[in-house]
Amino acid sequence: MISRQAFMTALKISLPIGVAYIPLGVVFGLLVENQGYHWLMAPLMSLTIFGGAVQFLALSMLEQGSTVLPIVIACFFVGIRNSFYLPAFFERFKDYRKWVKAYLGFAMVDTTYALLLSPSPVEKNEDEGYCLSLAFFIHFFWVLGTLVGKFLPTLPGLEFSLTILFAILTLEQFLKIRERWPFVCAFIFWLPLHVFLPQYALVGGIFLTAFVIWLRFKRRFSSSLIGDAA
Amino acid sequence: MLLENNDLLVLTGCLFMLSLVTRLIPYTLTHWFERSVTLKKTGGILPGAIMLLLMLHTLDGVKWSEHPHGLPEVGVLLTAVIIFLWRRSLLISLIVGMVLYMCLRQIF
Repeated sequence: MISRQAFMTALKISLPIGVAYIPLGVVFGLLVENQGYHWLMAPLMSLTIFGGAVQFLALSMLEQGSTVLPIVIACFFVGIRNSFYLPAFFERFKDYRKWVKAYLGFAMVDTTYALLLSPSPVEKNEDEGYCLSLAFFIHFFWVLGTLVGKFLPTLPGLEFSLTILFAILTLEQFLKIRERWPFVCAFIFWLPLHVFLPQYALVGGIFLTAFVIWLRFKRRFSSSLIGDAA
Repeated sequence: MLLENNDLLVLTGCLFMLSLVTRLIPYTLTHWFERSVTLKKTGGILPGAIMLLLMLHTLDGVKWSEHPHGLPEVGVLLTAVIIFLWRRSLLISLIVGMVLYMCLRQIF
């Protein structure tokens, strides 16, 4: 059901993410252990929570003596950005099996979203297997990273491949839409947030930018309706 | 120690639920997205802005005011972008960028 070609293509495309996740996972694994928890807790958290930012935030709040409820609330505000990702794929996932849709939803993290935004490299009838494999590999690499951290020496700087990935995908999106204002808008919101509320700069930036883009289209759309009526 | 591990297990369980809810809730809005042109248009434009925000977010650790003022990072990003415009391959850009970045980290 998943063709070899779809599987291997997904592996090839997700491998750079794997390379970036290992040093991040190592740091997370060390943090868990240094706080006196069982070392298996790190891969367990990666498997179930599957969100780097949330996991780091939870751990640092635990260290400061925070209780469960405030941690869950803070993590909600960091994790809510993921809700913005799935709608981009409603059309694409429409006819996929239920459990595939469910897993793709759960595995829709920053990098899965980024990689799936690019045009599918496989035939249409193999896309389901491709998406599933890609999400699986990204999940797998994240768990693996937190697991092997204990045993592997790592090179500093590997995680920079994530920055390169996002930079190139920004460019790819720009070449597709050919409009500058959404990017300018995102940057203008991000900058002050980054200075005053760094923890929420990403999620705040996404919310505000989404709102402004929506507002702009809503205005354009309703004014054209009025124009039609006249 | 054991108690602490249990506490962390409880927290992990809560955060697992949180991940499920925040990521799967969009499915409940499917028909809404199908009907609204405004939402569809927004969805077409938003990913680029999100990619830019993620890029800025991952640049968090760079100390712009200290030597070498983020020059390796900016240099590598520019190189990766130029290579992408030339070859149109994400993989080639990523690999060249990574190798260059590791080299620059050794120098600076």
